[in-house]
Amino acid sequence: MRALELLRSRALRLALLYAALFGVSITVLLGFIYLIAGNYVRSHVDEFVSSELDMLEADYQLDGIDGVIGLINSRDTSDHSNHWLYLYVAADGRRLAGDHDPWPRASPEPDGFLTLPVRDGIGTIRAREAHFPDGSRILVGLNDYEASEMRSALARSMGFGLGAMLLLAIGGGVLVTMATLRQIESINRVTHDIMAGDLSQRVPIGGSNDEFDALGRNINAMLDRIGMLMDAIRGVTDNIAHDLRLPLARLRARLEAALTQGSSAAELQRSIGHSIEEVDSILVTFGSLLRIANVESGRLRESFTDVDLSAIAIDAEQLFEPIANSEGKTLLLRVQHDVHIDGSRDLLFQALANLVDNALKYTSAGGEIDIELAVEHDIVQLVVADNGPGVAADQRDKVFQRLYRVDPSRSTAGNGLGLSLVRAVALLHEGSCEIEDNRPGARVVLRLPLGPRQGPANQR
Amino acid sequence: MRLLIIEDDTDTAAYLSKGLREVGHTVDHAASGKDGLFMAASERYDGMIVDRLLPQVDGLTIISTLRAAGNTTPTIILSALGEVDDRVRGLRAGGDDYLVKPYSFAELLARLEAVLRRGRGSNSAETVLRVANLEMDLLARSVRRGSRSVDLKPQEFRLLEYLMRNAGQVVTRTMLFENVWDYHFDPQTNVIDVHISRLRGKIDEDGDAPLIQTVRGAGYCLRLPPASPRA
Repeated sequence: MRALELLRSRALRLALLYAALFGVSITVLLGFIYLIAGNYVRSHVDEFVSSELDMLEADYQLDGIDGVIGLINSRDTSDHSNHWLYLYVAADGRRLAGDHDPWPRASPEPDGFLTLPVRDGIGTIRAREAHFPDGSRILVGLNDYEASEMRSALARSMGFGLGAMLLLAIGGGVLVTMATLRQIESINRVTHDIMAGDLSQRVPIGGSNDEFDALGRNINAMLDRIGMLMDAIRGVTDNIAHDLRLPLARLRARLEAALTQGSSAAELQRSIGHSIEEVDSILVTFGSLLRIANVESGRLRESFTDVDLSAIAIDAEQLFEPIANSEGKTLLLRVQHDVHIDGSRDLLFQALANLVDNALKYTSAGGEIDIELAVEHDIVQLVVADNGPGVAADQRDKVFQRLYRVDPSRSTAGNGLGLSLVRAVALLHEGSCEIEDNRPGARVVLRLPLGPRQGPANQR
Repeated sequence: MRLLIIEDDTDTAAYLSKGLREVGHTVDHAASGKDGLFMAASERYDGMIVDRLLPQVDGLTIISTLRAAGNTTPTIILSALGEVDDRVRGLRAGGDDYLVKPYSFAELLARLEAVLRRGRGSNSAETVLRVANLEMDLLARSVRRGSRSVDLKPQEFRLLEYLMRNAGQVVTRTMLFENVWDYHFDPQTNVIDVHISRLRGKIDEDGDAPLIQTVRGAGYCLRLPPASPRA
């Protein structure tokens, strides 16, 4: 299983490929060295032969045939173990001196040298001949066994070197592969556990800060995020169950009471009226949840048009002014005119209406609510600020969660979906929504990208 | 009025038919899009209620087919799809109004009456609207109650105009929100009620008969109050 894996693994295949490439390049390199070194030694041999022949020719000039014979004989005796070859023959073919008999039949190569085989021993003989005016001829040669020896030594070492190199490359490749496989396997083990349902598992990080650590860290970050989202979904599901259980339980109790306590027609009618109200409030919660889901899906972006946000802010002020007034609160409008964005008029108005409605809900009589609209650095800021109790810093993100309510008893009005919709609408418009401290009170800031079409006030 | 309901859910259809017959309409029912299209094209109806999702032929296709053939029967679309673009698509197909499920029967009835009235083409060219001694001059944009001039803000003027154009009929809060403010969602607050009560305060002064009536569980209606023993 493990060996199969090893063979199949990409890392081993890579190691083998690199070993092959490395082997080929080393072979080519050593081959060059082999040729160059051999030629170098041979050219030295050739030089020796040429200078010896020159010397013999000089002797002939001085002392004639005897001079040559004398020199050859002196060489022959003094340096017999040497691998020199001499042959001096007279014009009639008679041997005058030297030991190489008979005169070789090979003809010289273009460079003037003959390559002769060695009778006993290794290598070849490089030889040159010269003709003297009296018709005598001389042949001088030198065994180039040094070159041959060098070549075979090189070939041997190359063989060993190449073998060792290949072994090292493959062995190293296998080791690297095993290490890599171990790390991949540890990630696989974790993902397998997670698939089996244990989301608390995390990929171990080696600490060497390599690519595997980076991969592990990314996987762990992804798991953290998934875990967080799952917690959020679980929270929403719990909230939905709780929020719907309560009115359904009330509804059931009311219907049961109406059924058992033989009531009068008028009482029954009242019970049914209340029951319908209860059902309606459940339906409203469902409707809002569906609407938020729909907004979050991003599908509505297809129907975006140019929207006059200033007009929406003014409409919101007009819609809520009477109710603010009747509750003894002040609604102030500070709006830059002709601010246009690309968006959904209905959703933007609903988001703003939710914010103003919330602000009214959480301010007491005498309170003040500001609707502000301004453009700053191509970002539209739509703000609803109040001087009510505000939102605690640790709650400012949570209040955007579906069905989340600051008041755990859920005794205040509302279904905990208003702000969720506002944030969903902001995100749909590629903007953001945050709650800031208004000192005192809450300041909800919607930041939206400015639309492509602007009114004359903003054109330059 | 002779009405056609095209709705595949038999419970809903039976409930709608019963309710509409009780208020005096004659009602036919088609349970599939194909039957509905056939009936609407071959018979003469004063109004139609069409479910959007139907077997065989869907509601929007029925309406656009009828409109293409020159049939202008006032139509309300019923749909479980309630988003802005669903609504726009419904109205673009030729629907006169779009009502999202679940809805109350009172809401449906009020909207049906409104589209039927529009279908009769009444009061569109009028320049002066009158209900009892309340008078609205649409050209001068002025309002008088008896001999007294009533000063209204633009929003209040539009609100009163809508109520007067639908005088004697029930209009729901969402109808007011859609037609006066021109936004399409359920505001879920009592903002509209506060606007109505402020308008009441301006047009009804001491001694005047209150003209804007609250209809429990439905909405509002502009008309003289029914004579009560105390009046």
